[in-house]
Amino acid sequence: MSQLCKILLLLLMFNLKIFAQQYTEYELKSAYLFNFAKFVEFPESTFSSSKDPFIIGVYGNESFLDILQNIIKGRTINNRNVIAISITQPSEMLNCQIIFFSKLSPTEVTMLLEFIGNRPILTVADNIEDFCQNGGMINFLPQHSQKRFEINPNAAQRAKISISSKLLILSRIVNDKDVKF
Amino acid sequence: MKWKKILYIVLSLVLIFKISAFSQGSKKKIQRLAENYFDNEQFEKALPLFLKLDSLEPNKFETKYYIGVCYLNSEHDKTKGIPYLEYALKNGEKYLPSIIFYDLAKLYHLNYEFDKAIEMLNTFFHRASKSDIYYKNAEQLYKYCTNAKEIIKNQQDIEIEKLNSQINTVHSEIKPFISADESKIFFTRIYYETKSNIEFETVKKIYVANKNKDYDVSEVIIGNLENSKVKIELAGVSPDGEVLFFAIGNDNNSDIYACKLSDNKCDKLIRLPDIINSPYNETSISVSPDGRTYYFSSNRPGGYGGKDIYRAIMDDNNNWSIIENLGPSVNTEFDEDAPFIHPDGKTLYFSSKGHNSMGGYDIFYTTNISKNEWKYPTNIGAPINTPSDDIGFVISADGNSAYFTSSKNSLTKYDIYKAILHKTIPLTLVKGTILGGQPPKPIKARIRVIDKETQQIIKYVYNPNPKTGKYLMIFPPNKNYEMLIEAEGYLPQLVNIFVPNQTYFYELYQEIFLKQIKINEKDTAIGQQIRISNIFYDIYNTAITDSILYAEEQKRKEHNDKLLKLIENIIVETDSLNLSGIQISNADEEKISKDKIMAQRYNRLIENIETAIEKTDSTFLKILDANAIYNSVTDKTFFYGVEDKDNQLTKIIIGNDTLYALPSVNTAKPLVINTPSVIQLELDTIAKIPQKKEFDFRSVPENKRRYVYINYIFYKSGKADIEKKYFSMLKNILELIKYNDDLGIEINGCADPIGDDQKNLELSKQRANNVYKYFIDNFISPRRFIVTAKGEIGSEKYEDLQQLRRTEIKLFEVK
Repeated sequence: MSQLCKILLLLLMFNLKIFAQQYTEYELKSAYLFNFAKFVEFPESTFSSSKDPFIIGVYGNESFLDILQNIIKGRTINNRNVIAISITQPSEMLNCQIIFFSKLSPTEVTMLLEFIGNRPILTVADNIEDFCQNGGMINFLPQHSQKRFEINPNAAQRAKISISSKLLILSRIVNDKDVKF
Repeated sequence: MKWKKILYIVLSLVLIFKISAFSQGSKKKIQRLAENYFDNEQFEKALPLFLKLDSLEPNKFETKYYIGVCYLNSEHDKTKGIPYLEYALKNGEKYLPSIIFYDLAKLYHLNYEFDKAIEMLNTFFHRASKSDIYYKNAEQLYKYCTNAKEIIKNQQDIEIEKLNSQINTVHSEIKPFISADESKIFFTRIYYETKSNIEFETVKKIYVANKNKDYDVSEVIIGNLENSKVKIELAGVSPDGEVLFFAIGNDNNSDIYACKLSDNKCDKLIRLPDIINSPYNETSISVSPDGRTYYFSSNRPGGYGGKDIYRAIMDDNNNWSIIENLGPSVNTEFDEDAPFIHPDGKTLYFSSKGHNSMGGYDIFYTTNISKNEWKYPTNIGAPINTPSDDIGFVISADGNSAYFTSSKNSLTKYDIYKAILHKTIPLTLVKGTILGGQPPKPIKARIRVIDKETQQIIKYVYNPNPKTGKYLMIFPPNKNYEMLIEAEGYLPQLVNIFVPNQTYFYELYQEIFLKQIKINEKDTAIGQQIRISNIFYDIYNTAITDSILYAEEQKRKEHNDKLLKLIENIIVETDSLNLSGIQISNADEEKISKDKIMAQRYNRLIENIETAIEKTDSTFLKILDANAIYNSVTDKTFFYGVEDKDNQLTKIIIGNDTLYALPSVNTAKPLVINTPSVIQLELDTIAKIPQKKEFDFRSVPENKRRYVYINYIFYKSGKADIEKKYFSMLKNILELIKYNDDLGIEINGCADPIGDDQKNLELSKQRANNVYKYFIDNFISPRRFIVTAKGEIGSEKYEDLQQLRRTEIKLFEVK
């Protein structure tokens, strides 16, 4: 009897755990975004002063921004405060270290990538078709995929951003499209 | 030193004098007075006098007998009478009435000495005649004792905790009621006053305790009572905790009134219809989760004896037309009271003095088989049931915790206890918040739920609390529902909600956010946006995955449990998802602690991912991903349309009502995996979730365009550049189309009819192109634009030529 009780109690404890372990898609992706910053090295020229914050820009998805802001609240990367902002004008992207594209069409994103060019900005997309093939750096893959995300290391290299080999091991490697138009 | 000695002497002199005074004259007086009280059944007044006599003459068995009977009839300290009656019986058996055996049996029974009680009863049956007025009661007590022995033998291992001192005080706390999510506990506190060592009940007050870190207790103020002399008691609480029921009246006739609670006040008491309220006593009530069945107790004639449990059912025309006695499997010749229908709508808890009660009222439960057929009730057993009255038992929606009143541990006062039952009931509890506007604020709204299968019936109307926007709903599994949201200032909106087929208890945290779409602040709205965040917690699967994921983490467990407990508290205390960073809490403190928990929860997530990347542990990441709740946010914007605002509304016919609402928004169905996710991963293939193909608006013919917004840019004669004042409008349009990729943009350049045709055509082309370029420069896909140069429009006779030198910007949806 008491054995059964103990098992039940144990189960109950696990029940409580769910609140800690089950996350939403956006929470998960926000946490990944934040962690990318730790496994990526930006060229020295990225920041003009040691007090500059680390900026993550979100393009095209209001709800994601809300969650990201909650997750990074009060956190730092290499002693820099991290902030997340909504991007409405393309020129605003240039102040960011990471840009997250979500809910945008491949054409729109490709144009935005061309605007960024080879500036040292880590470009991340939320499951956008051919993102890495078109010169984007990291693209999240759908749930239950073999790998969590795909990476185009060449694109990063062109921007003088070095991505940790650990991240590369965990990802699907993608190269630029051969023919660019 | 000297003074003290003198004081002692004086004191002892006084004492000696007092005692001798008693022994001489007033002893007889006291005796007479005490017996007088006793004969008039004023036991509480008689008791102190007899105790005084007993202290003077400790060997008189008559006095002992009187004291024993007084205790037996007292409110609280009944079992204190045992030694007195035992003494009396031992020393004066032949002089005492045979009822002493029955009286002592009653006390033994209360004291869990069932064998001794049975022995006493047997002697009583032997000595008393069957015509004795107590004979029948004694037989009932005999049954109680045999039942009790059986129940105690099968005593269950249930954790019982006394609620803390915020709720339980030196006074008595009784009759707890809870909202289905346990966030609110309502109860009655009885205050006592002590006069000459005897306690008297003074006032009863009703309280509500909001569960956050602690219990935040405040009194419920009941206003508008016509007659302040009537008795008023809490009779029940609706499952969402928003409506209170009171029994109001006197000992012979009390009726049930309902009242919406706002700010801990009950102002407008509404008497329930006569079909429920008879000229007899209706004292307690419980409401089914759909609000269409009321279970209540009544002693009206025509039942099975004493108080019985009835139910009233609302028919399709929303009239209370059906009333039924729950029948002989529930109701007995004894009293049945305090019904509580579980949020699953099937399990009924009630108190009864009949069935196999172990004494007085016991708590029983039964389940509904069909229509009004009920299973034979089960005694909920010890330790919840006791030999004395156990009444007022409520259970949470997940079936895991119950609240009840007991006098356990302190024989004198009642306190409220919570029992952990280790049960789970397949239900989905929806805890939601509705917000509107920018910045988001709670809005006044009404939510009606339609069962998609039956379509006809609105099951229940939920009125979110206008101060907090919070609401609470309970649904049985495997059903499709449509929520009709009617909020002030917005068109009615339908939201589809699917409750999976489940065997476990789910909680759904829902946040609904409404926003009007405007291009400029002062414009009228051109549409409305709805955003629904649903978080489904699948308790069972997560438990299994967790056990696999964190098996090695036993060491950290203790630390985690603390954290989890905290998180649980937070989730209990607040409905808001915290997804959008909107905190609607009244107390800053609550907000701070919630923030802290969310931060800790996120810390853990970030740390886990970091560690996994560090170790290149892809399995961990996979499991984390497999258990994430995808697509929990549904965003949808409805545009009213320029010409046909009402065309888009769907017609819904419910009963006799015809309603128009915006088309239903489908929220993501929760992923229900019946095998643990890890096993599923073994079968993993790359999931191909179809990616959204880019739509080409350029090929949409004019009759397929549904315009939602039209605005113009005007020019000076011969000019094609956009004047500064138009940029804020353009920026707002840009923002809108960026977030709404199902909008196409039509750009028509126009010129006035003055001058050369060909030049004017070129000018109109330039005008259109400049606007187009603005959007393209801001990286909107060219596929979304239809650009036309219209050349000259209108005629020279037209008065205001500037009106013709323009570019039209028309946003459209595809029909």
